Amino acid sequence: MSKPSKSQWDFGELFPTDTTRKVLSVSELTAQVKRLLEKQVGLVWVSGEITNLRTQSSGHMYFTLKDAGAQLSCVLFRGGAVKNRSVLQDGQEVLLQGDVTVYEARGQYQLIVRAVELQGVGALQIAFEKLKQKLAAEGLFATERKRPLPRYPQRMGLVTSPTGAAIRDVLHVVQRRNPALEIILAPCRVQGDGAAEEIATAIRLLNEFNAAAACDRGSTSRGEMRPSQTAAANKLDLILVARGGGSLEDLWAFNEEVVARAIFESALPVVSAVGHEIDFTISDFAADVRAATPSAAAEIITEDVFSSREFVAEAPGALRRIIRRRLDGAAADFKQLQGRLTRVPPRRRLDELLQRLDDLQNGLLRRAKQGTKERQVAWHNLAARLLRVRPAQLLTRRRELLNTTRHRLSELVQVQLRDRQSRFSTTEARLRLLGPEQVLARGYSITMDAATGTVLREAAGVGTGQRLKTRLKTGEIFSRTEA
Amino acid sequence: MVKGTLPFEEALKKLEGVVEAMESQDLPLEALLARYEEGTRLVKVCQEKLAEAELKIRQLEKDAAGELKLKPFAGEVE
Repeated sequence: MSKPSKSQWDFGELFPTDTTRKVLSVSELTAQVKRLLEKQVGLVWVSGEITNLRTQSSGHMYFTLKDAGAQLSCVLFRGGAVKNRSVLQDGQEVLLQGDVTVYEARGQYQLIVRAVELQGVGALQIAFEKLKQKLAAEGLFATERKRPLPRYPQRMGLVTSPTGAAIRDVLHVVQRRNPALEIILAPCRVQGDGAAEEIATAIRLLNEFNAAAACDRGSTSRGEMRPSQTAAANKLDLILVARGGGSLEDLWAFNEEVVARAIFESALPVVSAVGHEIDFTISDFAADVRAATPSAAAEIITEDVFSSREFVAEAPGALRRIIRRRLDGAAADFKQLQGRLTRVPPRRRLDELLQRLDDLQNGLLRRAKQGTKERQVAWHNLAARLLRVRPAQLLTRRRELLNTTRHRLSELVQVQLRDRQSRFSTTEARLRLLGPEQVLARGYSITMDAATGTVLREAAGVGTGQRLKTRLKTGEIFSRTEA
Repeated sequence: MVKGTLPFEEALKKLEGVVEAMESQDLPLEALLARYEEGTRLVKVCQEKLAEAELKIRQLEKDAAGELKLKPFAGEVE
């Protein structure tokens, strides 16, 4: 078709255009559109993904809601009493309630957001956070109530699906690392409606079983089991709650409150291993131990027994090594002693030493005896001297000594006197013998110069008329010389 | 004590104690040999406990009467 044919009713422009055209200003048109939208569309619910989110300094939030085919401008005013404002972020799937309107200044229609609801994963995350906060406030996750796992468990309760990947992984690891660990499975569904209740029931069932085993301790079994497996032998050491990886929705049962409470109330320590490393569930927080995966949980549980296997396997060798080392050491010591013995002839050396010992002993004895004797003698001497030195006796003796001395002194004086007298007599006699008296007695006389007394021995030199004195035996004669 | 009745954990702890004592203390040779014999005996006990190679798994269920029952595991182990 080339040209649309003209209607038969088209009469052309009968009236001037300024009377037939209704011209609106932009504002008028926009106002009309706005009224139309607000009236015809108004308050709606719309779902989509948030993109291009920006929060202005005014506090208003602007973003675009989009799906595969279209986009919608949205604004969330600061003052709007909207919950979940914090969950708005790029990429988030949301359900929005709002008024469709037109922002006239830009000629843009938009949604003024009144309510925000998360959809799908987002909604689950919100529920997760809320439950987590609630249970944390109640103390379900308190670290001080976390119990340590028994290091050498003999029996473990397992809560998981009998057909899932988790049980396969757990059994594989246990078989490899500690096959002696007996497993009591409490089967349950791990996803879908009602799964959470089944998980919680399974945890309680195992606790019930364990309590019964503890009560029955010592009583005889009813015969369906071997004697070594009486009820007491069914006591559990711990419970493992496990599920393999999956989407958040798949794992959701483990985020339910009923599961968290069953774990919290469990008398047995609980290990939670749900999903992969990055997945954290409420059951992980409530459990005593969280493992990243079911395999990791099985490794943690079997760790001590497993490492003890190595220790036990190496123990015989270690024991032998210690004994060998000791014996080798003893042998070396012995050898060294032997060497020393051969270097010094032992018998002689010993004899020498004994002799020296004897010497020393004798010397010691001798010296001791001698010392005693010397002291005794000295003592006796002293005692005797002391006896002799009694004061009265001493005085008597001194007095005697004094008398004797006095006597001797007078004797000595008399002797001396007598001696002197005798010597005097002798000397007098000799003197008399030598003196002139004897010569004079025999008739000789001595003539002297009367004036000078000079003895005259020669006649020469005597003058005439000189006065002479002559001594006779008795008396003197004075005379004068004549010519 | 009858052989094998000692729980694994106790036997293991004793064995660890024996090895440690033998390594760290200056024991007289006779005491050392006595410990060696004790250690060898404990190794045997532990090895017996660890030798159980077959995994035991049973399934716990509540029957209609509300009684707990242990059944053989219904699923496949490997």
